[in-house]
Amino acid sequence: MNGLWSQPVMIVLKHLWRSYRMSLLIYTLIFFVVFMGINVMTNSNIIASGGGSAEEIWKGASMSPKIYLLVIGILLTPVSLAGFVSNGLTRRHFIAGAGLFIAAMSLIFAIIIPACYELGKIVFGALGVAWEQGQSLFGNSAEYFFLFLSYFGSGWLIGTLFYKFNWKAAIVLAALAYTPTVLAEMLLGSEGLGEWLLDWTGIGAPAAAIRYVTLLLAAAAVFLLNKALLSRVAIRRKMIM
Amino acid sequence: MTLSIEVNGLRLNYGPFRALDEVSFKLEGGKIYGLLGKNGSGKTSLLSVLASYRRQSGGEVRFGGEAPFENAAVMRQVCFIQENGHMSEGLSVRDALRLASDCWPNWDEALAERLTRHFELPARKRIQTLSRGMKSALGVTVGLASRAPVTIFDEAYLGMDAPSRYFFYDELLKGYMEHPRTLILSTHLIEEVESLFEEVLILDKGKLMLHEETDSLRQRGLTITGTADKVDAFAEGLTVLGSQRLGGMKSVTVFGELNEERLGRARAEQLELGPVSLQDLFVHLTTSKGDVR
Repeated sequence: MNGLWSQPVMIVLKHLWRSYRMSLLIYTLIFFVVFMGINVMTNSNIIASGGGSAEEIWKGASMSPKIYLLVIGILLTPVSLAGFVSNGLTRRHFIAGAGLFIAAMSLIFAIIIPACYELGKIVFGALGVAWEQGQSLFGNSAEYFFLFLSYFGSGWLIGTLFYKFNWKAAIVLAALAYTPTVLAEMLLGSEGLGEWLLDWTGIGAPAAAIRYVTLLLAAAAVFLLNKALLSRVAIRRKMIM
Repeated sequence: MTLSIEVNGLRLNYGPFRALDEVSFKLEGGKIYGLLGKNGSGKTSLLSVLASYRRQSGGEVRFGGEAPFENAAVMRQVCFIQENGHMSEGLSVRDALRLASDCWPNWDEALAERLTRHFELPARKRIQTLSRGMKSALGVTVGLASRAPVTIFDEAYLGMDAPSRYFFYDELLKGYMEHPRTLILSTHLIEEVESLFEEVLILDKGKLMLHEETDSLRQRGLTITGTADKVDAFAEGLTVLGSQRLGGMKSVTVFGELNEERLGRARAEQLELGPVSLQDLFVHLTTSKGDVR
């Protein structure tokens, strides 16, 4: 057993990817089809667009991947930890592999969202359907990455809390696990919750570098908390106590 | 490659409940051990600590001199298979085997393929859709093919039908002869596997009641067969574990070694002496005094 992919951490990463790749593919397809459908219907005035352009609809649709990643994050520890440890890997290997997986999936989604938008343009162009030309969303990839990372990280922490503690304690502690998502929405969410939070707290939008560093620190805190919670956790079959 | 296991004063608590209480033993590498005990005696708790599924509350565990918990070098040499396993239920059989082949350093792919074919494990099916027997078959396939220096089966084959279980026993022994390793079998199907055990450990109420070579343990009991009146007279004063009667003939199982005088008397009275089953001894040893049959 030689090479990078035979290292325990990379085995975890590889097998987590293998476990979730099909769901990622199906999710992306459904997401793309639904987005196209919404645009067709708003273009045909079947449903009201509310004045939003395709670009705005697409940006608004990023809520869906956030929830998808939050859910995958919640499942990560309860569904996968025991499988790796029962195959002779340590909890530390799982934590490191899961951390890499979260970063990789967040990155993939940060690329998929603008890529699907560009693909939508091409498909509509080929079909001769009118498409309001907005700017490329690739410029928003960094924001998307940190948003997805925060949601995924919160989900992971929630799942770990339910695995480690009984459900009553986990419900209480899970409220704290949402901190990274709230922070990300405050610092990056350009509409909806983020806007409201910024107004409500009276904080002006900080510079991009500060926002990204803050969210990186939040992601690191999530990682360290998971590490602390899981490093001695007992392996058991029941997903939630 | 074999690995010795040393356990000293092991304790495991679940809240206020003590599941393991000052358990100590030493297992030489390269032997087959039977771990016996009634339900709730602490067998799975002990094996969970050995496999680093749980951290002990007190005491010491050493594999080849090293503590196993979160020790990457030790954990990759200890394969623990339970009946329902710990594989993600959403994984397909193929993915579960791929994960195992990536993780176990001595993985025997040819053996895994042969066992998969024999048990007719459907590669594409998800684990959650498999029958209990199929899940057990997947577990023993991983356990056998892992070739881990320490391999532990905790009731891993209970869900399998009898032909599959006997196939498993054959494969276990064959693999053990070809690649000696330390095997620990925890089971309630004692009669089926007792011939495999070289040493037996019996746990009772969280304590190690006995650790002995199987042959010497068997010598602690005897079956005595003959005419009912002679057998009854001979067995007087001995600890009788059980008896069977057919017409005028009777057979009793007794616990305790017989001295030369008693053995001579048995021969003189033309009583037949035979070995006692491990199961009978186990039942006797783990039955509280008020429950003696």
